[in-house]
Amino acid sequence: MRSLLIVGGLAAALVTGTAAWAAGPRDDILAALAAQAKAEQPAFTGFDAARGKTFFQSAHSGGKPDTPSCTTCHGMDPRQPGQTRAGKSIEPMAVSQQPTRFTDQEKIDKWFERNCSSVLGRACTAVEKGDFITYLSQQ
Amino acid sequence: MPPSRVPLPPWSLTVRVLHWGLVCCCFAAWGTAWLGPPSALAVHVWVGSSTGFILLVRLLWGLGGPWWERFAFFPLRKATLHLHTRQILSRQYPPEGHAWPGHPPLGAAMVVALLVLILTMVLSGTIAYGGIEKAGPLGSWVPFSIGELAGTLHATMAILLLLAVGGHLLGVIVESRLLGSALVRAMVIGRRDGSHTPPVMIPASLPPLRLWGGASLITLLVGLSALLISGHGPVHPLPLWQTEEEANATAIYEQECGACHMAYPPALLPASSWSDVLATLDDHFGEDASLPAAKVSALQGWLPRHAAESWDNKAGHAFRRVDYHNPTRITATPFWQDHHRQIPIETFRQKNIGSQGNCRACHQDVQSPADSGGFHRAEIAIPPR
Ligand code: HEC
Ligand code: HEC
Ligand code: HEC
Repeated sequence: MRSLLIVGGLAAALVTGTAAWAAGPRDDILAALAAQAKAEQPAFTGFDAARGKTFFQSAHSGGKPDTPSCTTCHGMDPRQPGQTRAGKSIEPMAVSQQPTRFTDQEKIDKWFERNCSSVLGRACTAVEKGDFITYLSQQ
Repeated sequence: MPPSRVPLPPWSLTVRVLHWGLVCCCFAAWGTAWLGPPSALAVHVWVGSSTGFILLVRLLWGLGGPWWERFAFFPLRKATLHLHTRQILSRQYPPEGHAWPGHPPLGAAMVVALLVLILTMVLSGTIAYGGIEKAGPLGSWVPFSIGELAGTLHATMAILLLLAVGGHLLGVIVESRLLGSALVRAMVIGRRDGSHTPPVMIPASLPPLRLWGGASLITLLVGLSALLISGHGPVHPLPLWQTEEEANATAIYEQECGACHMAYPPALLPASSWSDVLATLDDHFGEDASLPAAKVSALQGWLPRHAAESWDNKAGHAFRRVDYHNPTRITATPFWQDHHRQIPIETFRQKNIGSQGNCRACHQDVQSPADSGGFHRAEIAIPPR
């Protein structure tokens, strides 16, 4: 019985440990974005969390009037929950608070498409996307 | 030789309990309907059902109780009514008091009127509850339109009943004065002052009088406990998305249309409005909510098919009519505006509500798109801030 518990505990530690360590999908997604960024801007040297923070927090023009900034819905502090304009709570964007963030390619594409269109009135560039994810992964 | 006078027989315990039971029920019903919050409907329905059982027992008792309490011996002949009216108008009874062993003629007429009125209230209430709330014994049977009609009747009769009760009280006061005896006290303790001349043919109390009373009481108890344990939710869960295609579309809808706000039950807009919403997702109330074409087309089949027009219930009828200038806003419909006018705007901004469109914060029975049959009045509760 005791040994069973120990084995179970070890197995559990192994599973959670590898999941945290690998963080696979997010790295893959960032790598793909980096390749795309390189193609878009030959001068590209790497994603920058500080640039991502500025992009996240500043008010943009060109989008729809009710949504000037990413923070309109996600809030100034990415570790806190945000709120949609319809009043529904949004889980924090910071990966430390919500480890599943930026791990599902389809979901990311859908929301970048919508939210960039709402806030900027255009699609986001690969650099903007990569900076954004890099910033929030460190939060 | 005229038969000699004997003391008035007492009111039986049954009649007294039923009488005061009805008094309580009537006031509780008026109170919960006119003064209570929407959620008081649960109590109202309970009170109404109890009233129904009390009436049933009074009916049994009126057929088989002691003879002076039976309907057959109510002095309702025209001549007796005239005599009684004359006595009251001339403000005098014969010195030996009136000659009726049970209710006097005008009182008996009022009792019948009250019983009929209350019976109508119980029936119309049950029909309205079935048709509008889709709950209660008739929940699966009554069409919405009939329910609404019954509801109107129910509300009108409630006022009539209030007037009739006023008339009854007036009668009791007048009669007490003329007789010089306290009628209200008699209805409490049973014993009555005065005497009467018994009829020539006194029908024997039904031999199994106790049995009859026992049966009546058991009816009452069984009925009341059945009421206590039965809930008030909709009698049949609606709708059933049965095919795989339907289940698929429901899942897409819940996920995609529930991302920024609650996934609204399809009964909340007519088909044409849902088609509009789906056709303009890239400019959705000031936001881009676009979806891949495959998902949009799955929803295009599903959403309009379950729209307001396909429901014969409260939401379905309420939300068929949209605001002409704002045909895709549920909260702009005339019905929604009418029913939420008194709620201050700050309430909707409350942290635990968020917006006018967050129906599920206040309507406890509307939590998922499957709840088109919700919006039961008893389930309305504005969460405290
Ligand atoms: C109008 C409100 C709103 C605005 C403005 C907004 N977002 Fe979002 N965003 C959302 C919602 C709602 C979600 C879904 C959240 C969830 O699934 O937990 C989301 C999710 C995302 C996701 C997917 C996260 C994941 O878990 O993979 C990304 C990426 C994203 N937003 C980026 C942005 C960026 C970049 C901006 C600014 C240019 C922005 N958003 C502005 C509402 C908004
Ligand atoms: C990107 C976020 C987003 C998504 C996804 C979204 N909506 Fe909305 N929706 C909104 C916003 C914002 C409002 C306006 C809320 C307000 O003004 O209170 C709204 C309002 C509505 C309203 C009107 C509610 C009212 O207040 O009367 C309906 C109906 C509606 N949405 C249907 C849908 C449907 C159907 C879908 C799925 C195809 C959908 N929405 C997906 C953001 C979204
Ligand atoms: C802040 C809380 C709140 C929110 C949010 C809210 N309602 Fe209501 N609603 C109420 C209250 C309270 C009543 C009862 C008003 C009355 O008649 O006294 C009501 C009544 C209703 C009724 C009529 C019920 C009846 O039988 O009289 C319907 C239908 C309804 N609401 C639909 C909606 C829909 C649809 C939404 C979302 C788009 C919504 N409500 C959002 C509080 C709310």
